[in-house]
Amino acid sequence: MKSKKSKFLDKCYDRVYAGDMTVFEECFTPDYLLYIPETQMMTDSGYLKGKFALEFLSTIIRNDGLNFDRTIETVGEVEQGDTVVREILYKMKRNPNKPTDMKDNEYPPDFTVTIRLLNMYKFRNGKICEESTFYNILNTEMDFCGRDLKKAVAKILRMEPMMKEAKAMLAKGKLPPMGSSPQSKK
Amino acid sequence: MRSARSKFIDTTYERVHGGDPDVFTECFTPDFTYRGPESKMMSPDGALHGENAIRAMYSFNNGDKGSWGKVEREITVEIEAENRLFRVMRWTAKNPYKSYAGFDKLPVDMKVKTEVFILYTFRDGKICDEFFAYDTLGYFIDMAQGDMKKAAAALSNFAPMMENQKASGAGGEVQFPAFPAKK
Repeated sequence: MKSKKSKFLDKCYDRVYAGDMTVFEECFTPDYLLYIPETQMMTDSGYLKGKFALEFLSTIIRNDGLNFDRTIETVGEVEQGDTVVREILYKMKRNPNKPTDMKDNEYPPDFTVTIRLLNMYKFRNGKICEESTFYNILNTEMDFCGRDLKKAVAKILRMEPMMKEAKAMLAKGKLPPMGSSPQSKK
Repeated sequence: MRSARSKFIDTTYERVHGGDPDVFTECFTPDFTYRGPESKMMSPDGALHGENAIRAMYSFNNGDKGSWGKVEREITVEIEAENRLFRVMRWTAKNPYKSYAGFDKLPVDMKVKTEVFILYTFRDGKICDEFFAYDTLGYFIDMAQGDMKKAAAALSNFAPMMENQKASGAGGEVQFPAFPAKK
């Protein structure tokens, strides 16, 4: 049986993942704070704030959907007071009809990467005011490279210029272009 | 005010880190599963199981203690419901005194902070599952003081160690040595 907050999260994030940014005013506090591995790598502060933060998150998630058949499944949940924690399986399955940004890797037809992550959502006055996510980027890159750490490291180094560019854009309050999230520029 | 379960976790992991050979049967279910960044590199299914998982934790903790002058753990968030307890832990390591994780030398005054999310699941009053999440890459970049190339070089040095350890598992889960006998 899902709690009221859990159902609220489902509805909000379905809209976020679909790119519906009208969700921000309805479901998030104006000072909403996003703290995920990507914001840690791409900002000096480690986080993004407000509607811009949600736009950034939506861009990353939709971007993965351009390259893969993506599913997001909540497999565990803990709720106490104004905090909800979700254990999520984020699956990306190759779709040969989605060739975007797959130029320098040849994945087998059934290639699938599953990321297990923990999301913590904090609420204030019935709206989401903070979101923190933890997953292991290094292990994810190893999954993309057949569990080869050296190949994963080489790929991370190839991503460095893109990360710097994204960081510079975010510092100016601009979203990095679609196709530039860590999970798509392989 | 900390809950009974929260205190149970603290005392249990103190015993794990202290190498208490009785802690597994007393505090963990026989099918206990540990899933974390390290286990993903050491096991075909990405998890360590049973008493071997506890031995691994003891070994990881000793590795940290043997390389850093001081390691501190601070719980910054804790929530609990039914059979699960979630924690955010701030792990701080200071004053490295020897080569570590592929870095030949780290500045002696270095201080590295890492946030860790941990989800414990209980069954019949014992811990049956632990999911431990942190950003390994971010940790290496912090140790490299923001220099991604240095972080990558350390990871490349680290790769053969990981490969050797994985090979010792002969296609199965890497096995960790038993705790030292009680004195």
